[in-house]
Amino acid sequence: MARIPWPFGKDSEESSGNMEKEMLNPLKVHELRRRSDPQRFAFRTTDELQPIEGLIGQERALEAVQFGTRISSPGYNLFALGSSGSGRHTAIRKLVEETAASAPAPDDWVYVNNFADSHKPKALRLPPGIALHFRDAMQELIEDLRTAIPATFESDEYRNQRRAIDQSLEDGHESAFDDLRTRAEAEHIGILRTPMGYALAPMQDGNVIKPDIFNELPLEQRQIIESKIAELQKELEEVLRRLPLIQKEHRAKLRALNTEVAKLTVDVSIAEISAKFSDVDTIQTYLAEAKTDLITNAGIFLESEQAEDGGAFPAAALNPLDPKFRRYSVNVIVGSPELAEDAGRRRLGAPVVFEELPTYANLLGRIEHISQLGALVTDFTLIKPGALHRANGGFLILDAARVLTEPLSWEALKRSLRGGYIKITSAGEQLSLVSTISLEPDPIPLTVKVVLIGERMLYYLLVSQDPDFRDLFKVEADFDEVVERTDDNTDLYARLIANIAKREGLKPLSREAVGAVMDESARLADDAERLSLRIGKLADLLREAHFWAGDAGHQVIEAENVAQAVRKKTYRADRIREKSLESINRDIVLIDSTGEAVGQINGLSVISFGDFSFGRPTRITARVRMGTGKVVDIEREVELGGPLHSKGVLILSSLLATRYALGEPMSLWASLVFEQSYGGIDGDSASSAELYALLSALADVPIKQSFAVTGSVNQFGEVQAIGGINEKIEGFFDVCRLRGLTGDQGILMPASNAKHLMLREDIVEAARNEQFKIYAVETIDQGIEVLTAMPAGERGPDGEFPPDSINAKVEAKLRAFARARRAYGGRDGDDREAEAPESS
Amino acid sequence: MPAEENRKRRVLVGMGGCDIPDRMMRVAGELAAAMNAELYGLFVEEEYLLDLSGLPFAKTVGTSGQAPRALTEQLMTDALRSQANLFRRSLSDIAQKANLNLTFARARGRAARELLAVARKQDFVVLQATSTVFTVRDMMRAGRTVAAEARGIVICGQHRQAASGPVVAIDDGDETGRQTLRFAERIATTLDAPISLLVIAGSDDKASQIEARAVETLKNVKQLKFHRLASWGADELEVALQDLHPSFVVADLEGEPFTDDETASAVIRAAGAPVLLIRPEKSI
Repeated sequence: MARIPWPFGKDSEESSGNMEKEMLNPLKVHELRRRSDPQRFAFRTTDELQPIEGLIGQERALEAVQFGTRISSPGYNLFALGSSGSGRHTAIRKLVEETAASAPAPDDWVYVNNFADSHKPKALRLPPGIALHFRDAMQELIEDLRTAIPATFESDEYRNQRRAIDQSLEDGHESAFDDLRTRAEAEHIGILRTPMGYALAPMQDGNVIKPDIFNELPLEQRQIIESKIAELQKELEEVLRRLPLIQKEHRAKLRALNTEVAKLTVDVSIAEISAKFSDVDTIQTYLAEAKTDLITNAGIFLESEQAEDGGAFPAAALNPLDPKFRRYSVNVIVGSPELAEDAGRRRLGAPVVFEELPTYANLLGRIEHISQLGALVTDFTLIKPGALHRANGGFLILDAARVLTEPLSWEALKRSLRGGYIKITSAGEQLSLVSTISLEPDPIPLTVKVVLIGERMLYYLLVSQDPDFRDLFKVEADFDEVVERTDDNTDLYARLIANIAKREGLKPLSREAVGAVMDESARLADDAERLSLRIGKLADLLREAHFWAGDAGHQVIEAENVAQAVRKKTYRADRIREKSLESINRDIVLIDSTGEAVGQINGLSVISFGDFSFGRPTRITARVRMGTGKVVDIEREVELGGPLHSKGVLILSSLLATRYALGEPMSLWASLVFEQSYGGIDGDSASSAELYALLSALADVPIKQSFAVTGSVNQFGEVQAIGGINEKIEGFFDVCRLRGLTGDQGILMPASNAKHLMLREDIVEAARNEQFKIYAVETIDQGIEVLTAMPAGERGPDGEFPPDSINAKVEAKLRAFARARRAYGGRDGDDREAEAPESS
Repeated sequence: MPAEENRKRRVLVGMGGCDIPDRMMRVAGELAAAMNAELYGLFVEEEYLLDLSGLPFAKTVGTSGQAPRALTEQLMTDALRSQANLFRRSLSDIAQKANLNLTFARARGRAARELLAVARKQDFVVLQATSTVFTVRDMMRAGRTVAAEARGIVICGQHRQAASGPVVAIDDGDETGRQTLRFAERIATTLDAPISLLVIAGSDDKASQIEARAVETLKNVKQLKFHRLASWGADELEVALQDLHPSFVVADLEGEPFTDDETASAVIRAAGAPVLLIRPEKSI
């Protein structure tokens, strides 16, 4: 017989099928929960500790943040990824604020009217701290002109000049008419005013000749009159045509006079404001345009004055926000307050803006409208800044999930970063929903560092799905969830606890309490050798411990208060776990915790409800018979099993096929099922349990039901680490404890998970009393021996397993299936499954 | 006291079917408010317009010199009806805003004659001049006729700008001066304007007497200024009025500046404001 390679990694020749191998021992008590030693702390309470500034164990992320905030090249925006409650927000704000404090204050920005095209307001860049002064100065200017211009136009000098112009118009009118009228009167013809214009009529004694009298006149006389009237009518037309020209000339003279008079006043006022901002070119250019416009439109200042006088019926008092004057307003979009003098240099620091609600409008700004006579109108004073405006020249911190879930926000943010400017358009326009006339404000150049804070999954989704993302967010700051539980880190962690207690105004913690918090932190990290960095959860634990300490009248938070906080929190969320346990205890869900059964084993699963998770045993059964080498995963067949679970089943199928009866065709049909499981199952943590059940079924050897098993298995039969080990162990322990601990009960878990154990004190106590055992197994062989109390068996030099070993029985069964299949195939000539009796 | 005087004073505003003179109506409203009077609007379908439209060759030329258009009696009747409605509506708005009683009537005939027919001794009649056909001079002439039956007339020139200066009273020292001052006081109170008194006197003594009388008559007026004209002359008066930029002028219809239409119209034009000419009470 050819030598068959032994896949279990051990030297098969050395093993030589030794059946006397020592049985596996359960883990020792101290391995089940790594306790902090309070005695190693040099303090009595956290009050004695120097609170730590910043985070611990996040060197990589913090370096990334520092790099990202300092590098000025485009596209180097940051994405801070990590779990919520890991202190990212606080750390990033602190770091960003530190960087911002030493950065120069950004320029101010204002929108002003575009006098040439009011639909396209102009954006003016002003030195920091100038915008508010400029706005106030323009407001004062308009207030001054509202008094000064009417006063100038009320002056005797202006009135006299105006009267002269008016008089010349009247004289022009009268002289044009007087001449015609005189000549008409000489012909006994009158010029008459009618509702439709002017008319000419024959007169007699100052009255129009009546029609009947006229008709009685001799034809010749009538013709003469008509002829004269026709002639004069032509002249009248000429005179009347000249009137608009005279009026036009009059208007032009008047306009010239008004301009000259207005200019005198406006020049003085503008010169004053111009001197104030003499070193700001943009303001100088704007003032020149405003001056021209003020002179041209000086009339609006007079209209308001006349409206105030209003003759016998005075109008309502003038609204100080009269829209007429808004055209000269200054809309401050970004305006630093008065800057502090710092060593002779004006400095305020760059802005740091955190936008809680990054809607499209909150990010880019909006153009508001007001209702006037039923119509929605707008102007540049109704442009409102967004977070990008406020953060321009500094930092903008955003929650990535919120930006992505707000309609249009993500695209708008990318567009702004890519283009390097902020362009305000309404969301309605973006979606082509609104077609009303709106504004097209000048885009404002954008220099901002955006920091997105989000879950790790979001980051990877964006990297893979959004081609722009990597170009715009080149710096990833990856915040770890755990830190190694070294002595140094433990000391730092104690200071972190002290910091939270101080910041939150909590009672100080005794060193025992600090130790208890660290133990719980390790439990939170699912790793005895790590401490959780989820500051949010840690702070919650401290707050609740503080509460229970207060309830107990303690001045200091003690370890018992921490334990109580954990216990009470579990209890508050524990209802479903209790119901689950109850259904097992009442045999509604069938779980054996004593006795033996062939092809049946207790698997372990974790159920999560929000923040709370618990473990629960699940019965897994296996059935085998002759077939074509197929292992049926019933969960998969009914689409309740996820891909990872199916992968586990395929791995164990492969293991069976490559380990046993290699000279024979694989002639097994097997089925695996999670009994009484009605929801989806995923993960491969039950694959070792499924393999044990299959081996039991094939070997026809019963498995001890006092054990529950967890761990995945690879093709070489090695048991591999899984997640949620503590919850899983506790889940089966609770079932056993409820039914009474027998001393035979226990858990088989992957050896590589041993370092993750942070079990509850009651389990540790039960283990100490040898009432509950936890075995850390490295291979399937180790596990099956514990479960069946039979040797697994290793192939001897002859390539055979020792007789009466589990493996020998499995191989024998598979060979029997192969023989039966061959016999069946010889009869029918095909590979159809034989109608052999089931085996288990 | 005669029954006539028991009746409430009225401000008559007549319209002859051509322009709707906004300024005239506004002045009528201010005057009615000042005099605690009722507004009386009379729309007169001018006979001459109807006669004109009956002539076979009748045509109108638009105010901007548009091509002549044939005129028919129907066209004229429709236009007059429309003008009457417009006049009534405008006047009604003014009366409503100033809380004045309004009576509106229509008549057919000659505007001056019809106004004369309805005018009572205590009424004021407001007339509007135009710069073309009906000049200030024409209005002055018509006003004299009407004023024969009324307390006074107001001539509104073609003022392009609403003035905001003082109410100017012209006093040459005769009997009517005191009445002039009282009316000026009423108008100044309504317009919330100061009073400037233009004193026309041949000597300083006479001027002082006139001023003393004014101080006594206008004892409740806080803002009163005097401007003496050393000698009577239309030119001097015109210059003085131009300098004062009055919002309203009150004078004696029989006073020296208004005895002839030519001088009167020059003075009214120089004032640049409505001019109230009071008929002396003794002559009523």
